[in-house]
Amino acid sequence: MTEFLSMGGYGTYVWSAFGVTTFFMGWVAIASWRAVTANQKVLADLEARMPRRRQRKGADK
Amino acid sequence: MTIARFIHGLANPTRFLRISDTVLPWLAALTVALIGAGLYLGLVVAPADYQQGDTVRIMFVHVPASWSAMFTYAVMAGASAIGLVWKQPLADIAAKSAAPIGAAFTLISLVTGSLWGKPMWGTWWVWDARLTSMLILLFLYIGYMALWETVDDPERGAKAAAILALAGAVNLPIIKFSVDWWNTLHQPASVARMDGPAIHASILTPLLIMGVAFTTFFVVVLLWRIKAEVLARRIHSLRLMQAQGAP
Repeated sequence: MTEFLSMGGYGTYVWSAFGVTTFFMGWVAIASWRAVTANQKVLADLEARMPRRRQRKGADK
Repeated sequence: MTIARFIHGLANPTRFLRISDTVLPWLAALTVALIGAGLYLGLVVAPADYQQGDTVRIMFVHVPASWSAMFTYAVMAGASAIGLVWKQPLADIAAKSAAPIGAAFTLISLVTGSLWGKPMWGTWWVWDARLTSMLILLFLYIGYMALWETVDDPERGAKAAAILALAGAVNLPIIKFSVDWWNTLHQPASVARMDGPAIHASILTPLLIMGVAFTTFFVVVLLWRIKAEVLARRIHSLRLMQAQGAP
């Protein structure tokens, strides 16, 4: 295990590279997913407060 | 006009979200599986390189990130062109949504390249054509995102951003061929070559798996961002209706 982590003496560089990759990809993924759930919630609240629009939905098709 | 019809069919946001919602769970699961397989093959199975030692493993994130940074820009420029020519708001949304993902890939490419360069070249950074053109790609992404933020009207913002994205697309062939056109410290292409890849299968397989993983990751996050933006625009128009007192 120690041998695996040391990466032939280059552990700092190798693990930093994988850490940086995880950080930026995780950041963009989590931020994007949070934007979806946050907007879904806001939209649901807004639509709940607009009952008349909901009723009309079936009518204009 | 099949292309126009295809784009028009996808341009309906409700239909687009329905299709993307069915695809997303599968694509997300595939991404996780590919990353798992790529990491296992790259970190555990693949041997250390006889010259680079274990630093060669940095390539399993550096190369896919660099490919994806360019692929994302191509998608962004393509969507921008569609938005400009066919005036499809969904294409503008797709281009806008791609930019932060591309910026993340470019940052990863630059930082991991640096982390490989220090032990192997003896320097974190050189102003050679490949590295400099990648840095320009990062600035293009940042400028593109800033332009969307500065223009208030989304239609005008989309147009300005699309023109910047298309102009910046000149940088893509410069990045690709920088290692052939100039004398760079960065090594020339070893996978996408006319005479086939010059890498042993034990290294090439995890590299390609990670490449596909980064691509599916991009599609998943892109679909999330498009969805968030479509919802944000619905929220905006509902609020406008409310403010105007309309039902």
